[in-house]
Amino acid sequence: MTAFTDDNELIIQIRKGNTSAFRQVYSKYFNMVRYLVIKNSGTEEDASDIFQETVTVLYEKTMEGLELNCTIKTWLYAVARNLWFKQLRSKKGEKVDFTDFEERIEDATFIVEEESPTERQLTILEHGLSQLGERCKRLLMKFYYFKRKMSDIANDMGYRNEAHAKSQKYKCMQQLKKIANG
Amino acid sequence: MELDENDSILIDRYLDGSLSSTEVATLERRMAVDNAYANAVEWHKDLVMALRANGRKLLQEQLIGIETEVIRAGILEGYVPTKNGKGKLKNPGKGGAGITLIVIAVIAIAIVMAVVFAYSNLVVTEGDIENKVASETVAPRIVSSDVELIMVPIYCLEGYYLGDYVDTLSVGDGRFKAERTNDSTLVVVDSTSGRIGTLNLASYQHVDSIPCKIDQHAVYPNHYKVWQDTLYLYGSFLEERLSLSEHLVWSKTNEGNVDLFLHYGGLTYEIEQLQPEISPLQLLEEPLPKADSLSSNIEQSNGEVEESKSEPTVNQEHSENDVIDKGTLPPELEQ
Repeated sequence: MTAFTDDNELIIQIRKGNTSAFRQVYSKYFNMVRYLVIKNSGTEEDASDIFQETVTVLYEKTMEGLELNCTIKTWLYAVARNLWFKQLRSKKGEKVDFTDFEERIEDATFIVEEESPTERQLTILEHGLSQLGERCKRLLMKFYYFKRKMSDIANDMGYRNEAHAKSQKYKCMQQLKKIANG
Repeated sequence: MELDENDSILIDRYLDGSLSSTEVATLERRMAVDNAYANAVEWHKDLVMALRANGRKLLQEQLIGIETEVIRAGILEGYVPTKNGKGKLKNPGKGGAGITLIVIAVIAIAIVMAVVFAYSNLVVTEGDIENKVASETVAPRIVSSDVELIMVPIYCLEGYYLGDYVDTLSVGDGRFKAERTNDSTLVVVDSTSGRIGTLNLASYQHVDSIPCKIDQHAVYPNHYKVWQDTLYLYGSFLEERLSLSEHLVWSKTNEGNVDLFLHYGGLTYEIEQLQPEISPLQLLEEPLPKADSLSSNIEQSNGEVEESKSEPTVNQEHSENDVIDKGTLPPELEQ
């Protein structure tokens, strides 16, 4: 397995979607988060879910240009801790005690806030995207989730130029709205 | 109300937080007085959020696979808390030596079954998934003849990938590197031996490659998925056959669209560039013409790049400096 010894390099590879980088994150830090969750009333399944969510947040933050001001280990720990804390809080009657842990991080940077999907978003997810053409879906995902630049998308997908890709993206959005609207 | 293209771009920037405070104020003022516009903005936001949720779901499916893979491979590092010193946590699913042995035995049996399948081309397991997959028919597709071909040799091994960089091509596990030195020549360097071959690209505008991983999977014969620009092949694919002699081809149609094709075992399959779910390979009824004019320009034998007998078109400094290293990043990323 490729080993990325430097945290910044690891972040770069995660941003690129390099599977080896994700594998390294799992290999090195999964047990840390597992320990955190299991020692605080969680199950193996909870640990797995929380780590998955943490890595997802890491990926999304890197796509938004995350710059680490601590080690990746500390970052993952803090985010996982906040995610698990939030989940525990939502479970009625669970006792929450993080005093056992050596790193207590209250920095707002690590707080993950998620909005619950609206009914319309669920409709788009369940019906709109399944009926949208593969090429449109690919284009929209590249732009909105993978945060690719339009010029790169044009290059990747064989559009004439950036303007052409932009216009296709606009048409795809209209099409998705039309499908979801019924 | 339908947003026009400019509005759509503006709202994308609004949602990303990249508008200036003046632009935000203007947009929010308009939303406050124009209900139809405000509704259109809400619609756009919902579409974007749904797309992001879908991306997240796809990523998490991929992460489940990575977690399973890492646990199975037994490469999880233990964790020792530094303060309370309560000891190392055991790897999940490994309750003791007995269970470890069982896990190893199961993996060994699975490997043996996969190898048997690979060489016999028989499906060796039974079950709902298998039956479902087997019952799917692979519809032949005909591709118009107006395609231009660029041959991209690959090694289907885990490796580092520089393919995002136009004019730079990394081949498979990093042993080979190909780099376009001018408008018409691609130089392929075997970093182990230092030998060089050349590929004439003539009028082609884009060169790319794709990292590839094989899973000799009994349940998914002749299937694939593409995720995060990596091609996963499921079935009886053999690494040694996916070398320079068997290859992926990017083709550029007259409409300017780029598609990816896989030549393997004398057959040609179409590869969707984003196919996150395991899907049957789409066989082409009419194989694409081999890019003989291109392949003959690579000095190769038995899947290996041979030393070119002619003067290589790359200068010495270039070939020495660019011998690929899995960990080396292009200068753009090192900043």
